[in-house]
Amino acid sequence: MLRVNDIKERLLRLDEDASLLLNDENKYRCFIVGGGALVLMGYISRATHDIDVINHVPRDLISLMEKYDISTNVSAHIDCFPDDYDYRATKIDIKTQKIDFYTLSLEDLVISKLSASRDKDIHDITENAVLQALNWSLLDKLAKDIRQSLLSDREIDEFNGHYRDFVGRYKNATANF
Amino acid sequence: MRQLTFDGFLSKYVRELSFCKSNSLAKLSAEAEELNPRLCEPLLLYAFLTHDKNTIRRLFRQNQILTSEFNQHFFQFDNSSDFMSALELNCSTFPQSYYKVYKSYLSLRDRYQNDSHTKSLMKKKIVTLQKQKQLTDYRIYADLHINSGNFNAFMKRDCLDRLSLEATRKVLRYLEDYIPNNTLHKKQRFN
Repeated sequence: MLRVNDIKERLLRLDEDASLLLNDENKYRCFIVGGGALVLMGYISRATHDIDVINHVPRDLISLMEKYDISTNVSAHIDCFPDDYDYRATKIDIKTQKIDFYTLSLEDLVISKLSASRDKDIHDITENAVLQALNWSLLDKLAKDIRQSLLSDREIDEFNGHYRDFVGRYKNATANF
Repeated sequence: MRQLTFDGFLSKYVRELSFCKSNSLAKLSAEAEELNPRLCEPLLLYAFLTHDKNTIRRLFRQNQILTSEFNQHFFQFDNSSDFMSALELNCSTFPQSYYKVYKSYLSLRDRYQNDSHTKSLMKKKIVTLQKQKQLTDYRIYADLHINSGNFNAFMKRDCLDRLSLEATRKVLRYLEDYIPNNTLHKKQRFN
């Protein structure tokens, strides 16, 4: 099971293999999302096995990522993430040669989990540490952005329902922490 | 070394993922329903591989989600080997969330193979750098205090398991940093 150091170790191994495999001079970017990102940022402490990423890496590296149980499937659900998430991402503090790893901002992660709307996702973002650290006005802005990227009216309605519920239940509660 | 089995992996996985730190299906089922929905997939896989169907149905009867998932995806399989074949084939009727747990298992089970793959990539680079920098095998294993037999087996007979990943990494770093006729390297060599 992965804790912060295990996740970092796995990312370093991936980077090492990538530097041995690719002879180009490019440096690539990889964005950690989901529970793995929340664990890395220290907001939740549960163990996790898989790491989900949105990657900007060549195809050669995808199979390498699978070996380390780093899943790129989330890229198929890119519409669950607000635009420009890369500008708000934070570089993970590890020394790499070929791939720079980032975690998405907390607000981007919360919006993506509210868009995905699965019970287990919602569970992660109701942790006290997450609620306390949230920038609610940025969250509101990103919620407006995501409504424009969601494809169907049903998705927008579902997101609106989850968002209203989340804000209604937790925004004022955080003032009492 | 004994190979990690899927049910061995799941047993540890559900225990670590749960708040109750238990392998009791009754406790895990109660927790998955109320507090820890993340437990559902590994718990169903664990239950199916370690208990018979009637026991599982009895233990999960209070939990609607687990019962419905079990009936939908697991009940059709007569035994665990049919089930494992479907999982290995990444059967389309099986939700990806279950396959994801299986992939995590494979990644952990095959971690030594991953080390070998990394070492083989490193070896290619080591051979190239050794030629470029014209270093003898003796110079390398003597400077790095590596057992000569292990080093030769690794280099000449491709026995990748004879050097650890850390030792292979050390050889590669040594060659990358090596500058021919560099006095600093010579000094380090004798220290």
